Amino acid sequence: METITIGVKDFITTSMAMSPEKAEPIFQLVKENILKNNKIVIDFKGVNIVITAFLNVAYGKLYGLKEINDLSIKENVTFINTTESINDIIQEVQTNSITFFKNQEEGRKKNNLLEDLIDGNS
Amino acid sequence: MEISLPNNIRSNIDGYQALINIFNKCKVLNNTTVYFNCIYLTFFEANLCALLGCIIEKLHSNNCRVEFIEVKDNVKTIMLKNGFLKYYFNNEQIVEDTFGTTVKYLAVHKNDDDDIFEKYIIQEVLGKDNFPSMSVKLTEKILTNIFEVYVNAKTHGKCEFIHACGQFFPRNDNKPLRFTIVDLGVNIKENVSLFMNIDVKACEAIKWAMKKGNTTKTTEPGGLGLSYIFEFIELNMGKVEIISSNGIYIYEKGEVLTIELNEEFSGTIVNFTFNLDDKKKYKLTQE
Repeated sequence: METITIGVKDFITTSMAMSPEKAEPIFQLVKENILKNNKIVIDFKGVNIVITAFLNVAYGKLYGLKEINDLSIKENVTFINTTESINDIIQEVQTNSITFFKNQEEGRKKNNLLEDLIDGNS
Repeated sequence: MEISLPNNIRSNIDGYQALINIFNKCKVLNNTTVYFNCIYLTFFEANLCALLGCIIEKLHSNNCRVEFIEVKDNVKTIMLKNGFLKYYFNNEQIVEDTFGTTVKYLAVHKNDDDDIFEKYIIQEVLGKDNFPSMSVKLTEKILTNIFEVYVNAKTHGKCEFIHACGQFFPRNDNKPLRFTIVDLGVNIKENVSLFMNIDVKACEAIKWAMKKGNTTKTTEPGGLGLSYIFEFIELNMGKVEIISSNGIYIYEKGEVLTIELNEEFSGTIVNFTFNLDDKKKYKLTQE
């Protein structure tokens, strides 16, 4: 098990993490390393502003991956060199993402149940 | 083809309806020259150059030429100060913004780097001398939320351009700074109706979209972006107006008002009004 540090500043050109497109490579890197059982440290050194649209992609999307459970993400992904504001946004994105994907899953189950009822399978 | 502008265009229902009406007249024109006759126009709130920019974008995409005629000096001056006339008509005449009240017009293409908008906001909106004094944390939150609106327009709107412009009115009550962002992409009503798989009324669609946690995105979470701006706007005693299709959603003094407009606008308009006469030193509740 390794500890991998990902510097957000390496993926953006100013001190503001805004663009979801620039967040996508971070998501891919985090996903790849969680699947290898590595610990990931997301470093916000040099980043003053992060918006939810960026974090939704870089971090929130992880909670929708079937191959990784929520606890694994919370335990293996940590953040350093954050500000209070960035910490607030991380917390909001985490809570919102868990709810978002849980609702999606419940919606899918309801749809499957409905289909089964219609087809006479239950 | 000649289109007359009315005598007074402000950031209010009448002003938005007037410009939406003009947009709808223009969107069906092709391969012609459109003359915007300003003979009656005595006052134009310059932040609405963002909406004018959209109208011109539409005309240009339909291979139409645009000219403004009979423009009164005061209207021409403000459009020179904020760079609108320079952007579209290469008008190199320089008029200094001696009072420091303009927020320059900007049109960002979908393929432009987001840095352009970032630098624009810092320089033009948050660099104004009389913005209410705020803690660093609150300044950060406001920046994040203006950027969230911008990214929303790019992500959900899937538009060619995003138009932005602002104007500070130091002699009005509460010294408002008005900042307008407009795009001609897929609007909120369309996005929400598609998501729900039913035809949702514009006002209801906007109300739904503004609720924290609601999003039409399906592959990644969303729905948080605007929550902080409403908190600040309420404390600041400012206002946010969102227009999409024939619905307008107005958030002011903690209350929501929605009104159905006479005509539909195919894109989305977001107009912020910040109260710059606010002497409070801000900290958010959790600070």
